[in-house]
Amino acid sequence: MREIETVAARTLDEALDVLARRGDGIRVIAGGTDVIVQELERRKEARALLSIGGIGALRSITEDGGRVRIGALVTHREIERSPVIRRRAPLLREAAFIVGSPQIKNLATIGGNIANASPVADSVPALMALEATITLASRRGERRVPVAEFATGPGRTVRRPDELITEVSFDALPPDSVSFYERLGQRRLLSISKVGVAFRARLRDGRFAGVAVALGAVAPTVIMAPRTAAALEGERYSPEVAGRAARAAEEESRAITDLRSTSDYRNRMAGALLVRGLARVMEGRG
Amino acid sequence: MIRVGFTVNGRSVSVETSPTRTLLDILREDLGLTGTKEGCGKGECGACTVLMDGRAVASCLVIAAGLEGRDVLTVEGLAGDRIGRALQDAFVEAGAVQCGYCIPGFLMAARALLAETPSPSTEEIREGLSGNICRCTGYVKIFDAVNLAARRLAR
Ligand SMILES: Cc1cc2nc3c(=O)[nH]c(=O)nc-3n(C[C@H](O)[C@H](O)[C@H](O)COP(=O)(O)OP(=O)(O)OC[C@H]3O[C@@H](n4cnc5c(N)ncnc54)[C@H](O)[C@@H]3O)c2cc1C
Ligand code: FES
Ligand code: FES
Repeated sequence: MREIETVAARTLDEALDVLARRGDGIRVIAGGTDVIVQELERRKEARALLSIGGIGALRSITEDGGRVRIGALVTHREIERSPVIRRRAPLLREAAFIVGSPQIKNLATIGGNIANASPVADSVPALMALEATITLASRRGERRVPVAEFATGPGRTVRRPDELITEVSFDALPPDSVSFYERLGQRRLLSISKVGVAFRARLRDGRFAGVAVALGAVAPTVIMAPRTAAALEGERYSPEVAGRAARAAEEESRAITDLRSTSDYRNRMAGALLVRGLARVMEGRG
Repeated sequence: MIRVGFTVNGRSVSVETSPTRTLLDILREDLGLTGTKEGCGKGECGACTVLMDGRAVASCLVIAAGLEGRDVLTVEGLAGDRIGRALQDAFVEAGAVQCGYCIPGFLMAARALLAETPSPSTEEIREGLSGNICRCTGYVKIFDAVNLAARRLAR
């Protein structure tokens, strides 16, 4: 790769100082799996890089008073292996499991997946269905932004040039919850399309309550699907109910046609994945 | 240019290099460790797999700026390693190697897998090696070899 000036920060303070001084003139690099590929393919050309991989304070997953906090530098492999995530947010474990390959998952951070703002980012639908919040830090202080409001278009976000994502947090799912993440296409290489569907709800007397659904790769950003959620709210699971919700998901999808697949195909896949996921988690639960 | 210090196969090294030079290039060109191969150069084929702090990573996506203090294991270091030796023997015996270009990457991914999951199921072997591409073998004998090594190590 071409030589780019790189500053390696060892502490959060150091990183925030550099960003306060250089803002737009320097690009953050965490695991590097997006940044390096974008540089190689000349899709983005940074003037300088700020390497944050050495900031130990951003590497932990904690659970405290029902709130789960994931540091920005936690890798998808660590999420996939975390007992806290397995118990408290199984849909996020499923999303992390699917990302790339072991060699990618060991590098790819959750902060990078969010900040890259790709409509096909796998952890984002799961985080959105969890109603997760991003913490952004700068020399000016800290602010919190819902994941659902962070990306404004492909590669575009509300992050200001001097801000660093430090963590993402959400309420642990209550024990009576069901959740899933379903994606079409196991590997980036082989996948035809990467439509992804994240779902979570509680089961109260066998009926869905507090339903949230998020859809990936069917719009310029990952989107919430409120009408799909409404089609399930208060209902008992049945194939007919799932079918009705699937039609809502197809209507809420706004996929574009590209090299990989047509918009019509993608929109319909969103419905099909919802049906598949619901069957998987509801089978035998009555 | 920056100077970074890290360990490779148990030996401390210090190299002066561009901060955005990849670990793959440093290994092959600066340190002469050409066992690690370049395939795609962008994370998709696994030919460049090495272990960094015990975890399998694509060395084409690791840059010098993040290397300070890391512990790297490459295919050249496998002969001095119990799991590594068992894997090398099993690959030969199972006939898992054809042209051989992908094999260093498969060995390293398998080494990471067996260190973490000593008796992997077929599904776990497939997942552990899902980041590696082989254009020759069709994978079956590679999976057999990993299975064979795991069974021998368990004895
Ligand atoms: C072969 C391959 C397969 C892949 N497969 C998948 C897949 O299946 N699913 C998927 O979702 N993704 C996939 N990816 C994409 C990528 O691995 C993920 O998006 C990953 O999570 C990015 O994290 P990173 O740490 O590598 O980010 P980097 O490349 O370091 O950074 C990505 C972006 O985020 C910014 N950034 C990073 N951290 C922060 C922070 N803390 N604060 C502010 N900005 C920050 C960077 O400036 C950059 O714009 C794949 C990539 C490759 C190369
Ligand atoms: S050369 Fe690194 S993954 Fe292909
Ligand atoms: S043996 Fe030739 S690519 Fe695998």
